Amino acid sequence: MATGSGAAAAAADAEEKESGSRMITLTSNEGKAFVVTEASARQSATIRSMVDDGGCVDKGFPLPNVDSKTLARVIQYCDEHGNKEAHTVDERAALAKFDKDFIAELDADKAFLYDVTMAANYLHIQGLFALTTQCIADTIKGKTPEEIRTAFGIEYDLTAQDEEEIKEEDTHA
Amino acid sequence: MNDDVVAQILLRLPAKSVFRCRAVCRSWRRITTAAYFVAAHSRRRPLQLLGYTGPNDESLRDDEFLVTSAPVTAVPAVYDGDDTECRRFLRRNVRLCLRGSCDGLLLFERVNAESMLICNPATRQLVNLPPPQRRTCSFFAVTVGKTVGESVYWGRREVDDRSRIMAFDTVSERFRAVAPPPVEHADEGPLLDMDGTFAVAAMSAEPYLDVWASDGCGGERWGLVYDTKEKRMLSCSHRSRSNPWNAAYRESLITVKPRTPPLPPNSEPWLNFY
Repeated sequence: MATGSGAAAAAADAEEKESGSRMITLTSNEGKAFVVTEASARQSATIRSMVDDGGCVDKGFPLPNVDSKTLARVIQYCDEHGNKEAHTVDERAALAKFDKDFIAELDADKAFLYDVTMAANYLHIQGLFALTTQCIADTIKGKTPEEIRTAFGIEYDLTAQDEEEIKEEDTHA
Repeated sequence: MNDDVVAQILLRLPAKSVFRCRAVCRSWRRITTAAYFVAAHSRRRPLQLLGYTGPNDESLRDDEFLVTSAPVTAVPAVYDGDDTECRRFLRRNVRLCLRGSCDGLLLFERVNAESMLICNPATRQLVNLPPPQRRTCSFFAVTVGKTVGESVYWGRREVDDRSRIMAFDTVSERFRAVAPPPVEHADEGPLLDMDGTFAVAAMSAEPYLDVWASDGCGGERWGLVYDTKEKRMLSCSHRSRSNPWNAAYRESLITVKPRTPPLPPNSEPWLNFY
């Protein structure tokens, strides 16, 4: 009994290793191909479901919404999280440090940060999306509406009726 | 960035920042006031306790109060009356009377202004109700009933003991009258939702509180399920002790208790109603 389940687990393990070692090609909207491990690509729920559905693994995945610069940065995140283990405290701390440095670097270039956020949303990379949206949210926190408009280059388009409602809300809150 | 991504970002903000974001531009305003956003945002927030100052404040009338809120984690297990952790929930001393609550929303009446507003304490959103048409209905007819299961109940308004509890079935969208429990109208207390069972509290012999529960179908049969004088559960008068409804109800009372602040050992159970 014990031997049987052990053998099954070993087989499952071997299978996982095999699938994890497959390589997958992702193509940016500029036609540039990036070859990544399957474990790395599986960070993206979008690609994961396509792979599991037995999709075109060999032909690779064209990503018409992502440019090369953004894709390279997204793959950097996926490689770190997909190919490294996170079982021990040290391993998790290393990943947390990677995330911290990764987002600090992105935060310096807001336009690029938004591109990466959009790509993370499109590819459904949960961890990366949480990381970037939290970073943007932290920027908004504590700012007045005027400061937010300046920071995000948003045009003021509220109507007189909106302003009236806002004034009303403000009186009570 | 599209609306979905903006919504995901703004969901991560505290209520105060979301409030400011409503004044940024039209699209942010649309996103942050959408029902799905408000619901998703309040699910992410820590639970808040609402408190109010009562008649102690001399500037207030007996039934007026100021609303404060504090995160549940900031409230010590034994509340010692120190309100330093509380945050005043309404910024100005708007004089309000709480008229009812439903699904986490509060209905307030503005004192001296004859208008009402609905407030979502989780998001700090306030909406004014259109003024009532005084010609056809009295002002205080605007009350929020107690929602239990698929029905909304309103307590008896008339002092006449023969009057009935009004119920509105949200599925069939019909009103119906429910016979009240056998207590005098004057003793009737708040309507309660006991884990899906409609119940009425009554104080026939102060300071003791009885709880009457309907038979679960929102129907006409009532059983006295709890009295604080004897401090024990009573079997229902019209059903046997072993019937499943009774057992389920007893269980529901027990499961209600842990949601209230922890009790000191050996103390009596108590009921909390709002």
